[in-house]
Amino acid sequence: MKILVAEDDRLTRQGLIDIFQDEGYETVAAANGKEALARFAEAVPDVVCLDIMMPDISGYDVCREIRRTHDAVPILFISAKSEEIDKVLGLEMGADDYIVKPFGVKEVIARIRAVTRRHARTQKFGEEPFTIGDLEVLPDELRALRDDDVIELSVRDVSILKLLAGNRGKVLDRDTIFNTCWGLDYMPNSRTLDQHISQLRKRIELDPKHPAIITTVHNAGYRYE
Amino acid sequence: MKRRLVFILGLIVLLPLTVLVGFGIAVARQEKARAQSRYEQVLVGRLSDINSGIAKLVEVHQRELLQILELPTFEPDRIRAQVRTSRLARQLFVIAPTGDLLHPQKGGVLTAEERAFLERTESLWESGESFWIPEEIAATSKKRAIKGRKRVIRANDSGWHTWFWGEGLRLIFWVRRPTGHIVGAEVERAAMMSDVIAQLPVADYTRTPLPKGRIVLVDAQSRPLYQWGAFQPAKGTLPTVAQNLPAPFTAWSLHYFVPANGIGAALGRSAIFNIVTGLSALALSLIALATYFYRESSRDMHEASRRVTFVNQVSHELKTPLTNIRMYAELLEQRISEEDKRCRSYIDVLVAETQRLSRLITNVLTFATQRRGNLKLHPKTACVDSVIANVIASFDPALRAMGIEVVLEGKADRPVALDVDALEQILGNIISNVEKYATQATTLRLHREQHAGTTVVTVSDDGPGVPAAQRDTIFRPFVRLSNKLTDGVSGTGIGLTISRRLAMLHGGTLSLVPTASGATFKLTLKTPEANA
Repeated sequence: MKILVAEDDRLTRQGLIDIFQDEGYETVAAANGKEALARFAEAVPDVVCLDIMMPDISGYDVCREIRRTHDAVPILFISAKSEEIDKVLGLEMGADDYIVKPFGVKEVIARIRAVTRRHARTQKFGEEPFTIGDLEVLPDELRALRDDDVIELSVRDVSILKLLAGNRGKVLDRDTIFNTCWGLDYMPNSRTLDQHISQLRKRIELDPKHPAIITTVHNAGYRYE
Repeated sequence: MKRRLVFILGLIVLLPLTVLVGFGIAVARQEKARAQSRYEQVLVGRLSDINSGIAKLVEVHQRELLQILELPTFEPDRIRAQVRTSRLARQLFVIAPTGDLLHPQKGGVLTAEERAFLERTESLWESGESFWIPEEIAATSKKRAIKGRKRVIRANDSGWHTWFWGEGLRLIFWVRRPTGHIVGAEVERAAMMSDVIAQLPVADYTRTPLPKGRIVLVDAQSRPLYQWGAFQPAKGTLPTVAQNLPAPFTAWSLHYFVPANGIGAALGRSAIFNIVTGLSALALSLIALATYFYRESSRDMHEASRRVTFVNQVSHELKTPLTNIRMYAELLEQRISEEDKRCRSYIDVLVAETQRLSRLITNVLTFATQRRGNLKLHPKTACVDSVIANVIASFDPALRAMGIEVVLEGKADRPVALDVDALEQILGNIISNVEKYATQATTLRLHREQHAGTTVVTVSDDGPGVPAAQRDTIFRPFVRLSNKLTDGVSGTGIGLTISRRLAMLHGGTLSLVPTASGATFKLTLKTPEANA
């Protein structure tokens, strides 16, 4: 899933890109409104994350221009403006949600997941639910169910679980997991994968210290028994 | 605010002006009435001057007539000769002491003029009443006067009598002889009128001593006999002043006409001008004063508005770097090893401080929005417990560092219509106060309950609590439990003000519950069930 991040502040832009990539999204960056429209035409992203106050063309105008040809693509406004009129105007112009600065990583993740879920539901990507251990994973919902408990997942979490579930009993090495779940362009860092698996275990395992779903095979990789 | 200032300043100018204008109008009216009265007195004075001239004429006539009436005998031929030589007497008559007319005697041999006289004076003789006072009445009156009665009627020695016949007023002058005979003369009307008119100014309407008025001599039927003056009154106009002529012409009167606008204009204008000028000067002074105050206040308000705008802009500008610090700190937190406790604690501090700064900026901006009257909520379906969990999570590092344990009681897990940002801001401000003021506390207790579309969250700590003297004031803006910078307690004093305002906008309230120890805040929000 691809996200266009249009934000004129370089640091904010890069931070958002990192957050979205960690979540498992592909990202396309734009530093102003004009560039945002050009990148949108080239890449046709699944989600657009727009800063309102940008040079040349404002986020409102970019939103209006995108809506002329693509009325389904989710648009998320990011702005330092928190006035009532800005929120109302943003939503009236066709944005799906807004995040007001200063925001935290968790808020961005929660909102982008919510937008992705709504989009997946309406677009019906056709990702079938699957089972791993005692979990039922709903890819379009970015959630997993254990009895009545709902576990929030990222796009990347879903792809890792899907890869492990599809290769039950096999040991998957780090390169395979990276290439499949992070993409070929990603520069591997063993700690990145280990940390991600560690975080994922905290959420899906009943006892993260003695994992039952994702087990570690020393010096080899990970396996779903 | 500006509109109210304009209204008050307008009132300050208009109220005294209205009173003064009312007062000025009353004074002007009085002044005009006084001026008119003075003016009328002048006019009456002029008429009196004319009348005194006529009175002197009457005296002259009287002396002339007395000479005419000094008849040596009452022989008809002698009387007729006297009439012929007299300019003023048209006819003479003699009445016997008994009251009988001796001359011209009815039924006697009379001239045509004498017959005409009898005809003109027929009403006088036939009425049976003497126009002179008979001597016997005078004698009776004298007796009564001797007896000490106050009312004394004297028999006059001479007198005037008037009657109307034909063309108008006729005059008789009579004298009582020592013999009791009454000798009288009918005054020649033409001579009498010409003498009266000769006393009056020339009727030249262009060169006149009366350029702005007209005086008309009218008879008993108000018919003009003579008039002068340049002013031409409209038909039916009542005279400005009127005065009867002295006896024996009392049936005639002088009417003085002046233009209506000439009266006030002549004497009252200067007074009105003075009043209007004074009021105008006062009005100008008040307006100048009000303008000065308005400009001063506007400048102050403008300056205050600029300061608020500046704070707003700075707050907005702070948001982007603050976002970056917070975002990168949180990203770093995700990547740092769980085992590197010291690094994680540093990052916790970074995250907690950015959150504190975020709350501060959000409070400043919310306060500014509230002052502009634009504060509104955006309810959406949410779970109160999730919001509380997020808020607690954001304070977790700080509270852990202070050794404060968070205890959650009850539950509020139903999906309800809720402004998440508002609830986060309210709880953030309350818990931030615990962090600031309850440093010795060991427990932070949050009790939640939901029923009938209402959510109640009670936040209590076991810290020092709010001093009794300040319990009523802590919700006022800029009130802090300590204002001393040296206390090391940061804050702006608007957190609880905004929190209560947000709670009220959410259909609820925020209050400080009296407790024996610690501080307890009770937050009530109207939260309709989302699927209701």
